[in-house]
Amino acid sequence: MKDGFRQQMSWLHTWCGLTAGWVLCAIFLTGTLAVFRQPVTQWMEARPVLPAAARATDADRAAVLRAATAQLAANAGKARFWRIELPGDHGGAVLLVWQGGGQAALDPATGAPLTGALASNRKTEGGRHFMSFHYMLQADTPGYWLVGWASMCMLVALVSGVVVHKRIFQDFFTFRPGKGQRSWLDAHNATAVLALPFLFMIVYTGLTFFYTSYMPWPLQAVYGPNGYQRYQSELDGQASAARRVDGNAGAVALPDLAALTQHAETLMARPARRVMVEQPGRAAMVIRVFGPADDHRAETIAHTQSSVAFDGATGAVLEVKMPRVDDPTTSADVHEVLKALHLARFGGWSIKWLYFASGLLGTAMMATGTILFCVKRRKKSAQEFGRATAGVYRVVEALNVAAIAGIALACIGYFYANRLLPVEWTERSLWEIRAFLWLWLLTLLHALARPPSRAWVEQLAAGAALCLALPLLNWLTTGQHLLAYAAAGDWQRAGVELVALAFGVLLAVMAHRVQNQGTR
Amino acid sequence: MTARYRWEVAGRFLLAGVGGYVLTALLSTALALALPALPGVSRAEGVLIASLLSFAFYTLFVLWVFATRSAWRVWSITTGACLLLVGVQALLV
Repeated sequence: MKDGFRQQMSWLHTWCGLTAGWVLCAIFLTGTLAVFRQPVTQWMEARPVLPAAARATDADRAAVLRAATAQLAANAGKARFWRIELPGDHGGAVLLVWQGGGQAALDPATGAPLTGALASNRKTEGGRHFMSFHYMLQADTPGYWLVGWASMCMLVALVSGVVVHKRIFQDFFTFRPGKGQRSWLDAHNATAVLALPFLFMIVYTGLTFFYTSYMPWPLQAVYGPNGYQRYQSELDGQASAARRVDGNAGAVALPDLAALTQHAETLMARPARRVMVEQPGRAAMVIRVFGPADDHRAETIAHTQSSVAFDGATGAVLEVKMPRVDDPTTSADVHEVLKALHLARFGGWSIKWLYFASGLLGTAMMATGTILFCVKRRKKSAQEFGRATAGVYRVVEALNVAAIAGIALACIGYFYANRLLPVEWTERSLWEIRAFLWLWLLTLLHALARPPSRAWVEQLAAGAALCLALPLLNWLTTGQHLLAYAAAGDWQRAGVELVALAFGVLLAVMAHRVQNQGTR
Repeated sequence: MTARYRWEVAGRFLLAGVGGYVLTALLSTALALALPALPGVSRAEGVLIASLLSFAFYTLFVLWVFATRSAWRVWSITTGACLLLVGVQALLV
């Protein structure tokens, strides 16, 4: 450590940023992709594209709900719950899910069961994989703490980074392209400053998301080792009124779900998206009708999803939940708001795109930071590691390649695994994730084996090729394609391919630039 | 780069990581126990406020560990603060 406060902060920023930077790049890129986990899941499940003309009308829906009830009663009469997913604005099939992992798909217009290729039982974690990798690295508890450590390092690096840059405002307007080390520093500063409020927000809400696990001691000291429930109910100020009787006694006729759904829609003033039947056919049966999960009309950030619960036996309304501004705010909402801020669970698609762009800026900031470390030392070795310095720099360079180009390659490779693994394989969702992890490891080995500049070019080019060929792969394996999605108005799945194409162009440009000038 | 310097950096790293976590846990626990004494703060809110602030304490502590020149100072103040907070906790429980 050198003398002077700013030098010491600079030292801390460098080492904290470098050591956590690799894993943070992966966390940030997958977290950014997880913003669009639902479209990714839809793309990966590869359900049939239904023409826009096949959109369900209200009369159709009543018939479909009756068909669904009949089907569920026939297939899963003993299940503890049934779930019916109604297609949203984008069309698509009606999905039936029941306890024990059963699934079926119905035609939204006729209620006829979709079979064969139309039903699509392509088992996949879909976009959820990016989300769970993002906070656990697919490594359970150790991964979860590693993410916590990386997040703390990021917080430290952010604060020390701000301290180091006394001219933070001027720096933001300074960009000297094509000047080697200077340009990398300028890019690092510009991305960091532009996204700074977002970066602070996302890392702090990420840590507080799991505050009772990362920092459980205050809660334990006050409430004892098993006090979480008591703490939550005290925070809430009131006990939840939901009825939950576990009874098997007495069989009850199934109610008309179509009528209940319509009633719920009037009460919520929102379209129904999901119907849950708990304890179907039993005396304790409860039917819950949910509104859209991502409620664009909600007036508060911390909103409960609108839902109406009915007594299954009598059809009486048990509970109506609505996001409203005049709801009394309790302290329990604080954590809900922090979670909603982290998950972009408000503001609809425009906020999702903003998070996506900011997340990419954050990834770029970390990438430029770790590259800057090498660029600086390639000019003049700082000899931090004595005789081992050259070897350490080599490993750092390889880790940079794997953390930046490699993780991008692994992410797009995950999409390929989804399409190329056999559909009938029962463990395929597990192997998709394994493919992702093995591919990431391979990029590291490749980066160690090849000269750095070649490794950069090769991995970036491979990522670009995979991204650009994704629509082709989809067409070859499922027969679905960009134009069909677009024609059916399925912009979520079309968007996945369009974003992949955009990434392909970006990676290709990066590969081209490294090829021509190297990472100077 | 002497061996002594390396040990010092390793020591600070350990102190910032592990010591920082222990100190943060003790500080936020003491805060959670003390906050309900203020008017309008419930027991649960005390826990919430203290837990949510803990990550900020941790960050500031790490910055302080690496900003202070004397290693002896860093270690002694941290140890002292931990002992003090243990005492405070014993009083508050």
